[in-house]
Amino acid sequence: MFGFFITLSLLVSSSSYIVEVDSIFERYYESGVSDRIEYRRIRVLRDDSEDQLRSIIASYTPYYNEIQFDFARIVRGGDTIYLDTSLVVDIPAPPELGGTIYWGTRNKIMEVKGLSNGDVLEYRIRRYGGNWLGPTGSENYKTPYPGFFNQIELFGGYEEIKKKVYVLQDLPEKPVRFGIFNGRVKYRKVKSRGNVFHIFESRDNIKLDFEPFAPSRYDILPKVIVTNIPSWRDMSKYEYERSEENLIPDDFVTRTSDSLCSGVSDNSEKIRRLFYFVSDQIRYLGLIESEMEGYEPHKASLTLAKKSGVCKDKAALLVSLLRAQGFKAYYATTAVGMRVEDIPSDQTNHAIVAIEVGPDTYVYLDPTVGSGGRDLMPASEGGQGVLVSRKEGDILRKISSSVAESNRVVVSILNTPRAETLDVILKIRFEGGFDQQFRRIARSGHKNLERYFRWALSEIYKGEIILDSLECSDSYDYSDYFSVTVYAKAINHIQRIGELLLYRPVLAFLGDRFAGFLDFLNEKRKYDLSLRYPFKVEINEVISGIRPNSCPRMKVQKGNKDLYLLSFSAVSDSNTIEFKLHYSFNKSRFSAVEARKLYSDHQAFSYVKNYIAILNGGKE
Amino acid sequence: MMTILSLIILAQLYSPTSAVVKSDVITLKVLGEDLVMSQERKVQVFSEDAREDFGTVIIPFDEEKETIEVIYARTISASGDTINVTPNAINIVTSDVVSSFPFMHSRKELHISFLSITPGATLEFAVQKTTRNFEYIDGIEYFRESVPIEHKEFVIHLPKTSDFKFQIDNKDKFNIKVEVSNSDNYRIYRFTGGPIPPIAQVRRWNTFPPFTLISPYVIYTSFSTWDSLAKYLIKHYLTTGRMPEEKLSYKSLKELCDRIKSPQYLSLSFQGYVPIDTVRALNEFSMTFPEEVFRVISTIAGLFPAFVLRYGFDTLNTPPSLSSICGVIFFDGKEFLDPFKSSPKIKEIRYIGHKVLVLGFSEGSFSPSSWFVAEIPERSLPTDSLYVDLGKQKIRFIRILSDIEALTGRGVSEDDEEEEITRDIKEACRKEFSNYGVVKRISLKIKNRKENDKPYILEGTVKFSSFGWKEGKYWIISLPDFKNIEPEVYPEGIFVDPTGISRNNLRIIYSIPRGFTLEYIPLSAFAETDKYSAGYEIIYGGKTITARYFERFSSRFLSADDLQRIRNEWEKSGLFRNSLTILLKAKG
Repeated sequence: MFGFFITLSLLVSSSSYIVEVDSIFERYYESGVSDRIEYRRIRVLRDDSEDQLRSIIASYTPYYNEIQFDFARIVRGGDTIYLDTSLVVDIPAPPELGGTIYWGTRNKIMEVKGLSNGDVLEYRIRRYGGNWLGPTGSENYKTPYPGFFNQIELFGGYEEIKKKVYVLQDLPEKPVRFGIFNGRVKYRKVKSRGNVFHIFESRDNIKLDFEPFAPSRYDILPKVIVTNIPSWRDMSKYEYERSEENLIPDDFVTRTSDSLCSGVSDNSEKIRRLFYFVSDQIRYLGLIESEMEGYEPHKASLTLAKKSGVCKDKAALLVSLLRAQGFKAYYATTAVGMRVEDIPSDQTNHAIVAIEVGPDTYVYLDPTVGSGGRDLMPASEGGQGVLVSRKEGDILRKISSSVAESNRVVVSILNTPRAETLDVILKIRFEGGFDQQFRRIARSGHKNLERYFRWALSEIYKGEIILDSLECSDSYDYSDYFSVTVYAKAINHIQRIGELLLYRPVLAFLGDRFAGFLDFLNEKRKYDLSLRYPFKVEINEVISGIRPNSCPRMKVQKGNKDLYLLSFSAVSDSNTIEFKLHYSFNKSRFSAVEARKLYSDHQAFSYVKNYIAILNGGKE
Repeated sequence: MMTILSLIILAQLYSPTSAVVKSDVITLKVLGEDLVMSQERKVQVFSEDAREDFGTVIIPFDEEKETIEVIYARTISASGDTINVTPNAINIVTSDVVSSFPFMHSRKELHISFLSITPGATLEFAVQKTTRNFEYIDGIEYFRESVPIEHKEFVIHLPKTSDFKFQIDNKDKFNIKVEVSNSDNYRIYRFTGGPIPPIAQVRRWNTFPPFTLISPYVIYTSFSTWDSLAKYLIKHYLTTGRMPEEKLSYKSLKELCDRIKSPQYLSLSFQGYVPIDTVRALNEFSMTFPEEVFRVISTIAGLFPAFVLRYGFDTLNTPPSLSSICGVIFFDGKEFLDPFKSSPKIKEIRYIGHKVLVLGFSEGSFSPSSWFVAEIPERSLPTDSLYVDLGKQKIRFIRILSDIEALTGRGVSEDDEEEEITRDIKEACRKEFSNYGVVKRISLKIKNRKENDKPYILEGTVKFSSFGWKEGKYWIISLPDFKNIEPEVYPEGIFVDPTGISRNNLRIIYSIPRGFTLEYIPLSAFAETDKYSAGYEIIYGGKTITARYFERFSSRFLSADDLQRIRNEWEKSGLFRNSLTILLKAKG
């Protein structure tokens, strides 16, 4: 899992201090528990550093670990001022994940006062126990993978760190392996007095800037993963042992499952019914129900009774409901928001469901992230590593990557002019990832959906919009993707000039609404561009019942099929003009170079927004 | 491009209307030195989505001086079963603000997470919060929410000898009633309302009107007069015991205010949650925002604290309540100054149209009886100018901005890198100028970046690779148009962004290139209502076309009815028309 949370409270990006040294020494034991000493030396660069450097905050979770401030001092000229560590406050942390998880995490906060330019702040924190929610091994603590040690260290962050050193003392009986990802970190192994030390060091580390649609920092910054878990297979076995007992369907679960599948014989329909029940009916909420929150799923019947749980509980309940119908369903772990690297270690932060549909073949279901959408596995998790919990163990597998073709928004716009008023029929079908997004809006009420489309139309048409009616599919009917049809009038979008009518097509403006990330690109893009999933926008706009005067045939295309395609075309005949706009973003992660090219291509492509069709309008 | 209303729409921010508050009863009772607040509430949820929004109740409290107790919390299922909230679903956590402001570590939140919620279930709870040694009673209770309310009661039990003033606003539309009765030594004020429709406008953006404009509410206080309120504020200033030392300079004022640590948005709610504390205010590191403001005033001479009243409030029409104050700025005898924002610009623009209570200074000290009320005036800025050279497909522009945020949506501090600011501004300009054609290059100079008292001046040129639309003999140019206001999208109306008020004039001069003649220009158009006027005038001068745009708001709050009136005027006046201009290529 993630490393320790130590943060200096940061409010703004421009730095008023620099971390000269960030040094960590860690020693782990047979049980997997570790002792960790963290030392930091920070040089203050401005008198008004208080905005950024107000406090030192260290988080811990009492049943996993403990922490202690050894010292904190300010070196000012020749003087050293020790801060009183007895003033450290120890308070419950705010609930995690947007206020949904209450697992008892606490913060120890030391306030840092009155720093001025040139001061050096030094502090040392000692931890005993495990990282984030694991691993520990003493009698005081529970451990997610008993007897094994895991750590993830990032080299860089939102602060400027001149030098970072991570020293890990090896336990000869259980030596660690490690992997270095996302760049370079210097490594050496030192033997001293019979001990082996792994030393990872990096100078002038990357300081991250905020950039919209950037990947997780875990996928940008140089990252060291150390572990002594022997294999994915062992992890899979352990996850199985931990979860299996709670997955077995009892009477309550079986009765519920039977009732949900009553009268259904088709297996895929049974799966869908059970999935939508868990995804829609079980509220996302994490409470302390057992001795070790964070890893072990609760008993399926408990989640069912309380109608609440987090990802692990929702996954376990779905596994249990599926098993009650005879499916070979398994609990599986993965990660959201960051890549799982191929080194067997605790990198997971999420749980899903795997159904074995054939030898060595699984389909995956995510009733948490996929909640509210038609797809059983959200497109955003395509390509991610997943570990299925099996008695005999398993390898790290990959969830199939989603393709642009399966995440389409397909739009048809039919405009029929009556003098300067256009009758507009807008039909939109939301597929894949778009389906979930628009069902959510629909579920806030028909009126809200109407307001949304009234607003959207008023953004793309000039003049006044009158929304005559809106029809949409039932947002709880999962038999097909969500779709909307809007009947509206656009008054004064067409401009009469003498005997001519000027018409500006709207599809390029609408296309940019669906590809909103384009607004956040620029020519200096620094980091990779990370989209939730590859997707396509296909818009067909027709204006009919008109007499074209000057409506040039036009075809514009930018990009290439491996990365992205932006295309626009206009064709006309004696009483119709047809415009087509296709955006296709064929992968979810683009390099910074590709993103900059996409930006400049899109800028040039935006020429099509100026297209004006000149029509014969007869006399006023 | 002239942006009439800078609306930032957050499409994902929806709140469901699929729940109903069956009843909500809040009681305040004075018991000796304690003030006891109790609340009993029942919410019925109708759908899965409402469950996510209403399934956890959060009640803030201050551990230092308040205790809180859950009397009961339970879910009544649609079939009538009672499922009590288990102890593990009642959690006390720290407010998010503490991470940044650790001296506020006593700020806690009680979270009650309801269990076994299914559509049709009713969530019920009762809590009691006791404030020890309370100094005053002061607050606002709103009667409208994002979901319908069937019945709401707000009851105050006060000793008969207590001072108490209250006012109910927006009551007629929503049928709010008050009853005053006596019982033993108490006077009981009972405010009731219901059924009350939900707030229809569920999307929130930076122009969403303040609650006081769209909800019925009771504002109440134990301060008897504005003098006594001023006295209370001044008492705390005086106890800091320092006299003004430095002469006012905008630069030193800005520097001093940049050092303020505590969060304004939190501590400035004077409603008794964090009352000004004389002991805390003696320690620089534990001051709340109001206390820090007093420190600034006591350090710099010639500065008066100006307490901003909520929009539409006046000392004449509002009880003397701390809750009527929504912010604090300074008055230097001539102008209002707002040095607390991250921008280097110090002149006030946020609170345009608000009334302020300025504490006066007489006979060597601030005096409780020498306060006065003023209104923060609109700041008019010079007209923005665009010079369009059509032949060279180039625009030269001069723009004047009170703040960069008006353009980029992001605040800028003096410490930000020049390159970064320029990049952000260029991007914002590129977006605006792309309405004219395909932008090739933008060059830009920013003037007055570090001048505290002058607006930014942006001067630059934009080169286009194509401008407008050329087809055959026609060259069609889009003139800026007014952004459409859709009353149906904003059924609760809008609260106009101050930058929308301050930035309202634009002049564009197009030079017609050789070889082209003017075929068509749109007619000038003007629209006017009691709260709003806008228009454009387009003049053809042989080789040039001059377009002048203006827009004025005489009120920051425009209700849905106001918006409808504006829209009607637009329709009548032609402001809704497309404003394309056509040039014709000369023959031969």
